[in-house]
Amino acid sequence: MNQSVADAVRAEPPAPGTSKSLTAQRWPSWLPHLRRSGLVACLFILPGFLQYLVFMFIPLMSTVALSFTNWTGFSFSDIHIGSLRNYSALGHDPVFVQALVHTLVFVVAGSAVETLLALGLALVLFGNLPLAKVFRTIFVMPAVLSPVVIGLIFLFVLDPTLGIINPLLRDLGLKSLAGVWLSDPHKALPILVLVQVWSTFGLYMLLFIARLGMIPEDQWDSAAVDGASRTQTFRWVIFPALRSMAAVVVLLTLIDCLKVFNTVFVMTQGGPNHATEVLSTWAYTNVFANNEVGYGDAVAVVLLGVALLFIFAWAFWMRREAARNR
Amino acid sequence: MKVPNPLKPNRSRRRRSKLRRFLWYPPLLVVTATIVYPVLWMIYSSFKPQIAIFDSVFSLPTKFYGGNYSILFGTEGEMLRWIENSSLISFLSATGIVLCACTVAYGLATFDFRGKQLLFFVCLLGLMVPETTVVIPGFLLISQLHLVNTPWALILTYCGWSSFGILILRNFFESTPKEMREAAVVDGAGHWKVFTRIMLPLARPAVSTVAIFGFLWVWNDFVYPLIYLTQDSSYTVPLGVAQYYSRAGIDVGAQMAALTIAASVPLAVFLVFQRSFIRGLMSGAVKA
Repeated sequence: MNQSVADAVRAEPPAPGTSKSLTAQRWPSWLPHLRRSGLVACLFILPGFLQYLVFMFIPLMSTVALSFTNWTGFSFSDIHIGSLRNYSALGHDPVFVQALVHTLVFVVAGSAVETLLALGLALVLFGNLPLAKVFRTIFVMPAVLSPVVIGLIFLFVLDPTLGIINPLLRDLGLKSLAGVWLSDPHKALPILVLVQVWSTFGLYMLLFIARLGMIPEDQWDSAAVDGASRTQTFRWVIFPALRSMAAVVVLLTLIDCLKVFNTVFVMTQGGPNHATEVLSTWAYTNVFANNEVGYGDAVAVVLLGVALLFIFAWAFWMRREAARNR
Repeated sequence: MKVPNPLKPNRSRRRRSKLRRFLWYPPLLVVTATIVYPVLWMIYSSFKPQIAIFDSVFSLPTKFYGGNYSILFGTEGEMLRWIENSSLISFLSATGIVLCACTVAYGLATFDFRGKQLLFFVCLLGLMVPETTVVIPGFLLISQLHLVNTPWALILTYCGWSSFGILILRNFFESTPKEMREAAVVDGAGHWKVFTRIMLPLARPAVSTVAIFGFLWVWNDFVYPLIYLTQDSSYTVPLGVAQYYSRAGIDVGAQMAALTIAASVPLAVFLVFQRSFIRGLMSGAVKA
């Protein structure tokens, strides 16, 4: 990112092949200069960007627009701009409040557990422990599986009659722990968080390992030469390097957990009795099951708002950290 | 010169820490078991008849039983169709994502123009958007284009999800010296030639990362197929498997077989391209 900021600040270099021509000055300053390189730039950027615009950005903006209507999704003629009604209705919807709380719990718990697990395993598997590479590969493996497949596998694993978890607990002599899992409103949400952790922690572990691998050799050397203890090496060599990566990982896990939909949809569909309802499933239910497109979109916009809020908070915090370290 | 391992700073500690390292194996094996066993259980259960699964959940299949798979691929089953759909969609979408991301990233890295930062930011917005928030207007668009139930509905949509690729590739292109590109252009090569002959071959590792991630993401996606496809015959594998579950909830063996098939393609892709997957992930993240 810093690189690009520097690029923007740097004065525009004269385009190759054309002298910085006088024609450029005749253009109003807000019009893009239609020099040859400008045209080439358009040819490179426009097709891909239009694709993005039409199938991603415009739908996103339309969701925001639809959230201000009372549309039921049947015909365009009965769209009415309902001002902020959908948003004021959110406060009176106990399920929405629950979903918001569950989303926040999911994000905080999932992100914390995932980051710590990834960090711990990265520290163990970074060194020259025999078989470290094998463990790494295995831990990354779930990340390539479809969340639907993962959800269904765990649906079977946790099933009280067919599953393996209850017989396993019985065999381990922990029979008292066996019971229903996903239909217990107190256990369902933590289980979904753990499934999320299960499926993606390996990716983040790899990121930490990558960062550890970027520590310059001479830092390790000087730590060794100075006779630094393990804790000292950790404090002065490993910790500073991991801190910046931890910030990135926290952001990525936050977004990941906010987006969660597939596993919840497949495993509990928000149940039992909305105990695992998150914003994405509640938006889906309103739009597609209750035909409340406007209201469902308002829920989706809240989700988007929460995501942006987290990202801005993160960026703000990063900037402050950077300023403090300078 | 051999680099000393800083976690074992001196000789006197070496023996003790060697012993201590073995203490890491039990927790590592526990994590491994929780990851591997559910997947293995799914795979071997798919080779057991349903009664055997009910009788003893843990036991390995005593003899090879392919009945579950013949249900899926038989006259009633549409698994083959779903695999075809998924393959077509994933290949074309991954190609499209790579094409869109490469050109946009090259443009953003090479040219200077007003609003470049804003454009880049708009492109990155796609990274933080939950699919569920864009799928509804997306469906309206697709139905206006009369593409519901066709693979093109998904392919066109996925080609728009190029944010990740744009980020990775722009970082890569920016890390190459700008003078190199400019020199080639001054020599009369033209940007297209520079792009296809010099930059793309240089960017091969980054491009393959984007292609692999794109392929896996498209293959595994569930939300778009769920909304855009309503006919059994046009389903993708994850959607088919999920619908199969809700329809034939009792046939556990066939379920396991369906899940095994759905999981095997991403796993195979991962195992084959393991090195570029891991390398790409590491380099991409460290640069971002």
